[in-house]
Amino acid sequence: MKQDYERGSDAPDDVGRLIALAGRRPAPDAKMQESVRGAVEQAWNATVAQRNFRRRSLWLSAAATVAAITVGLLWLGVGREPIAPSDAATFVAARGEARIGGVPDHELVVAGSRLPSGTTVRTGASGFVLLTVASVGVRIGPDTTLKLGRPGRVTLSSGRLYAETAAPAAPGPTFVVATPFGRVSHLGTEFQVVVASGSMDVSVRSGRVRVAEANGPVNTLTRGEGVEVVRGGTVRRIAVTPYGASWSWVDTLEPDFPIDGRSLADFLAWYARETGLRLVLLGGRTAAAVGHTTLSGSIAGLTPNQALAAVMATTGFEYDMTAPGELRIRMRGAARRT
Amino acid sequence: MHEDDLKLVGKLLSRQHTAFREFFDDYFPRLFRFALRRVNGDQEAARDIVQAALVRGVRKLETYRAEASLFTWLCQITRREISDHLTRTTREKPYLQRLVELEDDPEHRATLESIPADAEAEPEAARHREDLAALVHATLDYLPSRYAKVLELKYLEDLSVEAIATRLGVTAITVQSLLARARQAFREVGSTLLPSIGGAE
Repeated sequence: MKQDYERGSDAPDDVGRLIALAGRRPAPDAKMQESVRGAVEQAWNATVAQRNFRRRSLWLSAAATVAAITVGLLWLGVGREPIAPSDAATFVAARGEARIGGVPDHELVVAGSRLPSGTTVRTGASGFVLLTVASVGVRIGPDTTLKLGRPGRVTLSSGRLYAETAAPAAPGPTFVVATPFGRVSHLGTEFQVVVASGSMDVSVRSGRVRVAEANGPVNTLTRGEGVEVVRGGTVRRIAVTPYGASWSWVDTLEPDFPIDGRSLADFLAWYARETGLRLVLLGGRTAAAVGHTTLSGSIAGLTPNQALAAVMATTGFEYDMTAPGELRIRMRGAARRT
Repeated sequence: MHEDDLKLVGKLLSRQHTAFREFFDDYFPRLFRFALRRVNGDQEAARDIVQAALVRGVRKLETYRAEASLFTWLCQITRREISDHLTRTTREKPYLQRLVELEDDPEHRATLESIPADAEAEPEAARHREDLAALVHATLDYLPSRYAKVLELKYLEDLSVEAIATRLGVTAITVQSLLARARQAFREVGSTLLPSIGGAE
C-alpha cells in the first residue's frame, strides 16, 4: 500500500485507497455534541448581544449628539410635557414598544439619560423599560403607563412595575408608587405592583413594603405576602410565592450583571435574587469552592435561566431546581442528596 | 486570506442562527478529534477541552483576521486548552508528567524506539494501521469541509460522480472539479502529515 502512494502513478486512486483504508472519521457522541452545542450557543448569543449593544450605544451616542445640536430640546419634550427643575429617573434600557416622554422610539434614548419629573413612560403589549429611580431599579412591564413625579415618586396608572434594591437601606428619598388604589412605599425590598382597571395587587418577594390604601389603613407586607385592593375599598391579604409565573415577566428585561472577574458565588446570589429562589449549597466544600471560582466572559442579552445554564456548564458544579423554591448547587460528581 | 471563513465569521457576528449551526456542526467534530488524539482518547477530557475552546473562540470572533483558516485558528485555541488540561492532569498524576518527560528526552526516545518489534508482527501492523488512519482523519479534518465531504462520498460511500452531484445539488462537472481540487488539497495537507504521499496529480 505504501509503495503505491510513493509511485504516484495513479494519484487519485492512491488518495482514495488511503481514505478507504482509514475508514470513517470517528464522530463524537450525539448527546455529548448537543450538550456542548448548548453551552457554546449561549456564549455566542451573549457575545453577539454584547457586541451589538456596544455598537448600538456608540451609534446612539453619536446620533444623540447630532440630535442635540440640530434638534435642540426635542428630548426634553418642550411644549409637550412640563419641564421640572430636577431629574426624576435615569433611563437604563428598553425593549419592544415603548415611548419615553415625547420621544416615540426608545431607540433614540441613550442609556444613562436623565428623565425629568413629569415624563410619562408608556409601553405597549411588547414593551419593557428599565429605569433607576432614587437608587431603586424599576422595571416597567407591558401595557403600562407610568409618570415620573418628584424624586422618588412615580404614578402607576395602569400596568405593572417591579422594584428592587441591592442594598436594603439605600440613602436618598423613599421610593413611593402612587396608584388609583393607594400608595406603595418601598422599605428596602423587591416587590411588584400590578394595576388593572378594577384592582391593584402588591406582591413582596423580599424585604418590606408599606401599602397605604386610598382613604384607608396602612398595611406592612413582608416576603411571601401580598395584598389585593379592589375598587370600592375591599382589601384582601394574599399569600404569594416569591418565584414562578407571576414574576416571569420581570426576567424579560433585567439589568446587566457583569460576570467577568466576579465569583460564582456573586453570580448565584444575583440569580437567586432575580428569580426569587433560595440558594442551597450542598456539600461541605461547595460554599468555599463557589467563592473561589472566578468567572469570565459576559451574560449580556441572556435571561437569568439562560445565563445560569451557560455559566454552570463551564464550572465544576451542577445544579437542580427540582425542590420547590430552591436552587441547589453541588460539586460535579458529588453524591446526590434527596 | 480565507474569504469563506471570514464570511462565516461575519454571519456569526450578525447573529445568524443558520451560520451558528453550520459553524458548530462543522467544527465541533473536527476539533473533538483533534483534541481526542492529544488526550489519549479520553472522550470526557476532549469534550471539556473543545467546549472551553469553542466558548473562548466565539468570544474572540471579532479578533479573527483570516490570516489562517478558521480551523487552524480554533486549533490554536484548542491547543492552549489541551496544554492547560495536561498541566492540571499531570499535576494530579505526576507519573504522567514523568512519562511525557521520558518521551521528550531524545536519549530515552532512541532507547524506546530501538526496542525490537515483537516477533508476532500482527499487533505492530494493527498499530500502524491505526496510526495511518488517525493521520488520514487528521488530514481530512484540516481540509475545508466540502473537500473532506466530497472525498468521503467518493471513497467511503463509493458514490458515482452523478450520485454525488445529486446529493450535493450541483452538476457532475462541478463535482469532478471539486474532487480534483479536494485530492490536490489532501495531497498538500497530507504531505506534511503523511510522508508516504506527495507530488502533484
